[in-house]
Amino acid sequence: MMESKKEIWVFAECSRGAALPVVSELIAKAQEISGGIEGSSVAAVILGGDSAAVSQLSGLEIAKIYCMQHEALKDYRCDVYAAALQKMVEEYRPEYFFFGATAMGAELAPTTAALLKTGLAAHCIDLRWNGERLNCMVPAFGGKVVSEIYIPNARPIMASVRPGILGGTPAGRSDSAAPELVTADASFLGEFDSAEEFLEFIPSQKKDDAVEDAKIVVSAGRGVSTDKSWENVKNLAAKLGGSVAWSRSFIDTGRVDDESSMIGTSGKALSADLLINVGVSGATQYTCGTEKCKTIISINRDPRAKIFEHSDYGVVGDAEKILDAVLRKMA
Amino acid sequence: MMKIAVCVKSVPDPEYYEKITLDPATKRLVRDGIPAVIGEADRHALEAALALRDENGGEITVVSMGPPAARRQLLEALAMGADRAFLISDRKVGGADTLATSYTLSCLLAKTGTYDVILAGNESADGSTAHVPSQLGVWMGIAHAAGVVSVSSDDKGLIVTKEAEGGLAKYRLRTPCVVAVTPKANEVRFMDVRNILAAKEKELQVWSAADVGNMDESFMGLAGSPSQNGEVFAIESSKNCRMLTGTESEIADQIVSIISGNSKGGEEA
Ligand SMILES: Cc1cc2nc3c(=O)[nH]c(=O)nc-3n(C[C@H](O)[C@H](O)[C@H](O)COP(=O)(O)OP(=O)(O)OC[C@H]3O[C@@H](n4cnc5c(N)ncnc54)[C@H](O)[C@@H]3O)c2cc1C
Ligand SMILES: Cc1cc2nc3c(=O)[nH]c(=O)nc-3n(C[C@H](O)[C@H](O)[C@H](O)COP(=O)(O)OP(=O)(O)OC[C@H]3O[C@@H](n4cnc5c(N)ncnc54)[C@H](O)[C@@H]3O)c2cc1C
Repeated sequence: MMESKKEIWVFAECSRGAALPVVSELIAKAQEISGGIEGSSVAAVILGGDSAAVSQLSGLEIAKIYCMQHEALKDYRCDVYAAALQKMVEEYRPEYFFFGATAMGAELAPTTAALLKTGLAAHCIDLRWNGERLNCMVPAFGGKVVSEIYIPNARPIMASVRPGILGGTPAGRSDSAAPELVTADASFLGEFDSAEEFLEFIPSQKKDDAVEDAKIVVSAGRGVSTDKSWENVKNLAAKLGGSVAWSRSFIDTGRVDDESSMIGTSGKALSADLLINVGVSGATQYTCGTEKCKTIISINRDPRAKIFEHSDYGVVGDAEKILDAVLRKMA
Repeated sequence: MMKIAVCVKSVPDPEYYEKITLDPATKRLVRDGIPAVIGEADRHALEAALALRDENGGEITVVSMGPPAARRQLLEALAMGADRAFLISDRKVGGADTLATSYTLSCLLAKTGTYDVILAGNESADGSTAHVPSQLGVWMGIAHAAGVVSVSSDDKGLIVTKEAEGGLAKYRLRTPCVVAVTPKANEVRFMDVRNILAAKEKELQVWSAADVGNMDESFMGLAGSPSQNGEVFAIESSKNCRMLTGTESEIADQIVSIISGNSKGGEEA
């Protein structure tokens, strides 16, 4: 077996020809970790070899881009992708391998880890190199608890990271040279017997201004129970140029029916500068998605609501009436 | 006739997670008195199994790894309509990470029969890594899908729709396969009194690792786990909340001023 070269790999998940935002976050984190580990370097891994994504990542301060190109990689199939990653890991032996905990990453990372019989830290909120080991900060129990997961012996050390939580912008190249492009052998895929048949992609109707990227968010909980208060929430968000989000119980009210803008453990983690919670009680499963917001204002009619413990400013009052007053001031 | 297995994990009731604290001396989680339940996603996995059995006929086997007390959750699964249940409970399998957990479940499944479909919750309420179903698929060497929002079967396999970036993606999986369902996949039916009464008569076995047999110790429990737990932290909010008081109009003024402090130039006049 070849000796490990201490490469830190980032899986560059692409959508419509571009690497997802979480890839930048992961590369920024990998650069930071690499700074603390002598002789280490950062590399991105692209399956399908999208040339637009390659040039997008080429401007970053990374040593290599590993690509595998094959028609079998055209549509995502978990077993094919995982076999491709296993092959690349066994050939090039990275020390670390990071994924975004996206829909794909949440399936592909554990599959790849199991094929490699290595450890994987799940949907981390941070990765911390302490000079000796990498502590992967994994939330559990609905976000009430965070555990340091580390992988002492098995390699590569794998972690998936929750999108939108790291922030950070990767360093661009200081020189004009491009990262080394390594094209991995894909010939084995010709005979690969996939047990998955891709049938179709159903795009969501929703606009894709993702709440996790929004700077200003107004979020509705079950306490937004009247048509007028819901209109107020949407109007306030529009006035502020922000996005609307909601709690899980708000979905139960029937005013919205999808989880694309739901906050929490099963939903999105926000990184907004300003969050306004309206009629949200503040369950752990909700507030773990709002920890990174800079300023939080919460409106709730119950003075003992837990949400106030997670807020900078609190208002005890009726959602509809308070928002009426705010909107009047802004008219 | 479909042979269906469902992975059911006994978890501490999520309603109580706010009460979890950290023992300052031992640095261990204090979760005393929190009752155990079947996790929400696993209920939907059970429902998906019942629906497949309604359509195709067949048998539903529930498997679990956990403490002996997890028997109660298996009894509940039988009361929901499953046909038989197996629990592996052994110190040797304790402290497992997801690779070791999925290995153990794969051995238990192999011991109890052959299956066309193995259903699981997409993520447990407590550890909630969402790894186990995919890794179970790898150990068993079969297809698997996570984040599934709908399941049905046709003569060529199982049709699953799963979450994807910017939408949903539909696949046909060759059987046998592992399918991890989210709560969106279905609505869990009410329990039928006849099932509740029949539950106690159904087969429910609690086995040790030796009973299961043929297990490789190097993949079991804490020792067989590549990932380890370091320090654990309980999250307390660092925020210091200032209550805004006054008339509605005065409160609104304060809110507007906080907002404008935050959205320099970003808002309309
Ligand atoms: C704070 C904390 C953090 C952790 N972080 C990690 C980590 O980063 N990486 C890691 O590898 N392990 C981690 N673990 C360990 C992990 O929780 C255990 O391995 C656990 O046994 C299985 O994982 P899960 O609960 O996350 O299951 P998930 O993968 O979330 O469960 C999905 C589904 O699999 C089935 N299933 C899971 N476990 C069982 C079971 N015992 N019996 C029957 N069916 C089951 C159920 O259908 C369940 O709904 C962590 C544990 C804690 C307490
Ligand atoms: C495994 C698991 C995962 C979960 N994941 C998530 C998740 O990802 N996201 C999520 O949000 N939840 C999640 N939950 C659910 C979570 O535990 C809570 O039930 C949920 O967040 C509550 O939503 P809520 O605050 O909108 O509703 P409620 O808890 O019902 O609170 C409504 C609040 O509105 C206030 N109110 C009522 N009327 C008014 C009014 N007229 N004006 C002002 N205030 C008013 C009330 O005082 C109350 O505080 C999960 C639960 C489990 C078990």
